[in-house]
Amino acid sequence: MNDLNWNERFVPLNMADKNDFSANSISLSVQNKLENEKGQITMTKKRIRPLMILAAAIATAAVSMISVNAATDGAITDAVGDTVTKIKMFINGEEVEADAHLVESGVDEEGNEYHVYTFDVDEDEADSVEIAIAEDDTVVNYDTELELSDDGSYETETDYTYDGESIDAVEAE
Amino acid sequence: MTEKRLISKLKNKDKKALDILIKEYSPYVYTIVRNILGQAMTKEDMEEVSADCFIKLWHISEKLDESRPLSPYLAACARNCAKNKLRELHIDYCADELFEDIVSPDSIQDSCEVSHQLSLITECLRGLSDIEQEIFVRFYYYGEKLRDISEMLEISENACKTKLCRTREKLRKYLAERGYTNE
Repeated sequence: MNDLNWNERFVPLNMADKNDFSANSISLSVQNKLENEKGQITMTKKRIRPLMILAAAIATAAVSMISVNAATDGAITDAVGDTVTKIKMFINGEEVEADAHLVESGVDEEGNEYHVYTFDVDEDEADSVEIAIAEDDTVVNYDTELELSDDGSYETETDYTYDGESIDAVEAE
Repeated sequence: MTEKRLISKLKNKDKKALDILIKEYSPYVYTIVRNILGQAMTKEDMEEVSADCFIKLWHISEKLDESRPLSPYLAACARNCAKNKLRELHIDYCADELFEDIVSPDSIQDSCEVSHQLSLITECLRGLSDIEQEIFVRFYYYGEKLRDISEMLEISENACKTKLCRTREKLRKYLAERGYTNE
C-alpha cells in the first residue's frame, strides 16, 4: 500500500480540468508565497539555563528564551550597537517591557549580516506574544504575533522594517 | 522525468521540479480542495488553498522518500489545507461524525507528523480489502460523497457506510496503539 499511487489507483471522481481552474495561477501563487517567505523570520524557543534565569526579567521556573535571528543590510549594526535595550511584548494582550541582549552576530551563507537577540518569556503564562523591538522607538520594529508551541520552534510572518525600509530576514537555527 | 527524480530534485530545493509537480498534480489537488470546500469559496480562493498545499510540499521536501508516491501525501495535505480554510471561515466541516479526524489535530505538530501518520494509515490500509481501501481514501481524503462512491462501486450506500465505519474503527485503534488519539 505504501507504494501505491493513489491518483492512479483511485482516480478522483469528476477530476478538475483546465476549464475548472488555472494551473498557472496556482504556480504563480506558489512562486509569490515562496518569494514573500524570504521576508519571514523564524523564532526559536529554547529552555533557558539556570545561569540565565538569574538575569531573567521574569523569575519563574519555566522561563524560555526566544531568539530572533534577523539578517540586515548592515546599516542596522551601527544603529543598534551591541544591545537592543528595550523590547515591548504583549503577552496575552498585556504589555510587558523587557531587555534584549545581543548574543551573536555574523554573516550567513548568502553574505547577509545577521544578529541574534535573546529575551525572556514565561512560556507557561504566554499563549501568544506580540513583539515590538525598538531603540528610541525608531530603529527596529517587529510587528508580529506568534503562537507559542510545545515543540520549541515556529515560524511567523513578520512586518520587519528599518527606518521604513524593508529588511530581509533569514531563518534562525 | 520520473516522479522519483522530481522528488530528488525537490529535496534539493529545485523550484523547476516544484513547478513540474504543480502542473502534474494541480488537477488532483484542486479536485480534493473543491470537493471539501464545495460552494464555500470561489475558484480563485480554491486555487490559493491548492497553492498552500504545494507550499507545504516544498517545506517538507527534505523529508520526502523518493521510493514513495507523492499522491497520498498530497491528498492528505490538500484535505488538511481545505479543512483549515473552513475553520478560518468558522464553517463546520465535521457535521457528520464520519468526517471527524481519526486523530486529534492537536496531536499533529507539523507536516512531518502528517507524513508519519499517513505512513501508519497506509500500513494499516494494506491489511484491508481493495474496496475498503478505496472507500476510505475516496471519502476521507478525497472528500467524495458516499452516494457517489457507492454508485461507482455498485454497492448500496448503507453497505458503503458500514465498510467505512469499520475501516475508521480499525484505523483509530491502530493509530491509538501508536500514540495518535482523538481525545
